[in-house]
Amino acid sequence: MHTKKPASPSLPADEAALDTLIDAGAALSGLSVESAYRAGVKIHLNAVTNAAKLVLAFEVEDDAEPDPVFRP
Amino acid sequence: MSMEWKTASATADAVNKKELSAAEVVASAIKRIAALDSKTNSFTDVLAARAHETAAAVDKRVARSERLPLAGVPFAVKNLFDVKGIPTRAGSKINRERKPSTLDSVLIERLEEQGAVLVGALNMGEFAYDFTGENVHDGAARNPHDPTHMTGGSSSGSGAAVAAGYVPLSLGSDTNGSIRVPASFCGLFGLKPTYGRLSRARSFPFVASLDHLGPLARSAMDLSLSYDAMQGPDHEDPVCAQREVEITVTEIAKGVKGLRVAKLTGYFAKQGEPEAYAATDRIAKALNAFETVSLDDAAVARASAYLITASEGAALHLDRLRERAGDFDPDVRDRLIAGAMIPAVWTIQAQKIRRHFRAQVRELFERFDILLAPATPTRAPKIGQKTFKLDGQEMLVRPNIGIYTQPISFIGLPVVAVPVWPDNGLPIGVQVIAPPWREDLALRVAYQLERDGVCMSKEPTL
Repeated sequence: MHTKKPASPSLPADEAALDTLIDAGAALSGLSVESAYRAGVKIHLNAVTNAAKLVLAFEVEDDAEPDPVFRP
Repeated sequence: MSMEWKTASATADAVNKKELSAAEVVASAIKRIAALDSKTNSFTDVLAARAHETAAAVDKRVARSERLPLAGVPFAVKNLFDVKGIPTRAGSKINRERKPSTLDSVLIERLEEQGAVLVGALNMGEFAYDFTGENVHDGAARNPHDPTHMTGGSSSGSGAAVAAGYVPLSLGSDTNGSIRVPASFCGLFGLKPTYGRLSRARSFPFVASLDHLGPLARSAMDLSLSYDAMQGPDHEDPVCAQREVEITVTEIAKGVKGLRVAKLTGYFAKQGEPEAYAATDRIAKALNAFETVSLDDAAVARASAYLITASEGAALHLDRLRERAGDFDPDVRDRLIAGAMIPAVWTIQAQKIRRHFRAQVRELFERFDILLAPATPTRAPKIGQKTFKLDGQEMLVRPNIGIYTQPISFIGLPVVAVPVWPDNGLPIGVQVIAPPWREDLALRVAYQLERDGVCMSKEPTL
């Protein structure tokens, strides 16, 4: 229970993967990522994917409830 | 003590005793703001006419022998709180095109009911996605203890205005640390209450899953007074807890004897400058707290908060990002666009981890009443500084100032940030963390530390 597993290998690990995610995400969400923004977006998306590696490596039970409205 | 440096409780006491009028106090505050705020850039709106009118009404109530806990106390709010008559800009260019608010935020109403007087709205990081206090539209708020340094954010003006002595009390919001970070950088006491404790009604949101509102002040007692005035259920905020008011003012002077206090180590003893650890050690020593405990999953908790923030923040602003990306602060825009690329499964996983982490922390609170941790990894960086080195690793300043605050707000724990002064330079804060709904315990500890001279706010030279 709650043991850690290796980081998912499917996460973007290189710049090309980040570019692909930006292009696809922008197209599907109707966003225009202008060239002036792109480098900044990529830096932050890289930070987000690094956070996601930790989060997705964390094993939770099938019956774990998400807590969008959290009661401490 | 100058009128400007009086605490809220001392001001209310003097006004209730008719030694001072609310009108005099408010006039003095507005005069000081006009004279000095060009150095600190904390206010975006000074509401002099409204404040004079409210102060006159307070004086009439006092003349009728009403005793008001916050009689004549000037206060100001981060400009994401609705203030009747002005648009709620939330630090942005885009929002200042909104219609003026027709009502005040619920927390403003509650403070004014107790005799406080709103004098203005305060600078902040755009849409609250910020730890620095920099704002491309309104300029950076400047640290009153050294205007070349950051105030911290995103409640930047809330920190600067209280530290500069313009007002003894301000309100801020804290999604990942935005009350605790300015408290740390500006040498103030800041209260981030339990998630759901104070109504967020009529304030501009950022991350619904994590948004909290709370006060900053120059004394623990002032946090307690204002917190008591703002408590209570509110049907306008679906997250606001159906809990009755639990008064803390009567608890605050009970001392710390018998409280079991431990210092958080592991994650909270990495990636900081030595003064962050030294400040925490100083607080622990003052409280005779010699036990250390580790929160094993703090790193994954912080990563989860990071994802939820990026994703919910992007969802909130998606239309604005589509239509007016060029009108955002570039530092905020790029983070929000990146957040829009996050697959839903990542954030759902992050939401599941909250429950696990809460259970882990609950176990700790069976053994301890209070946990201690640094509030920030460093003292206030210079304005404009983009990177810093933490544990030898070059990191971006903006997203990483909150490394110690994020895991704690992730599960909504109440925290009082207390100010420590390592030397003659800038201050740094320590988080006094309590179990859910036990703000009284954190306030008791903060009050005792202040009484013992371990923590204090210092008057700056402006």
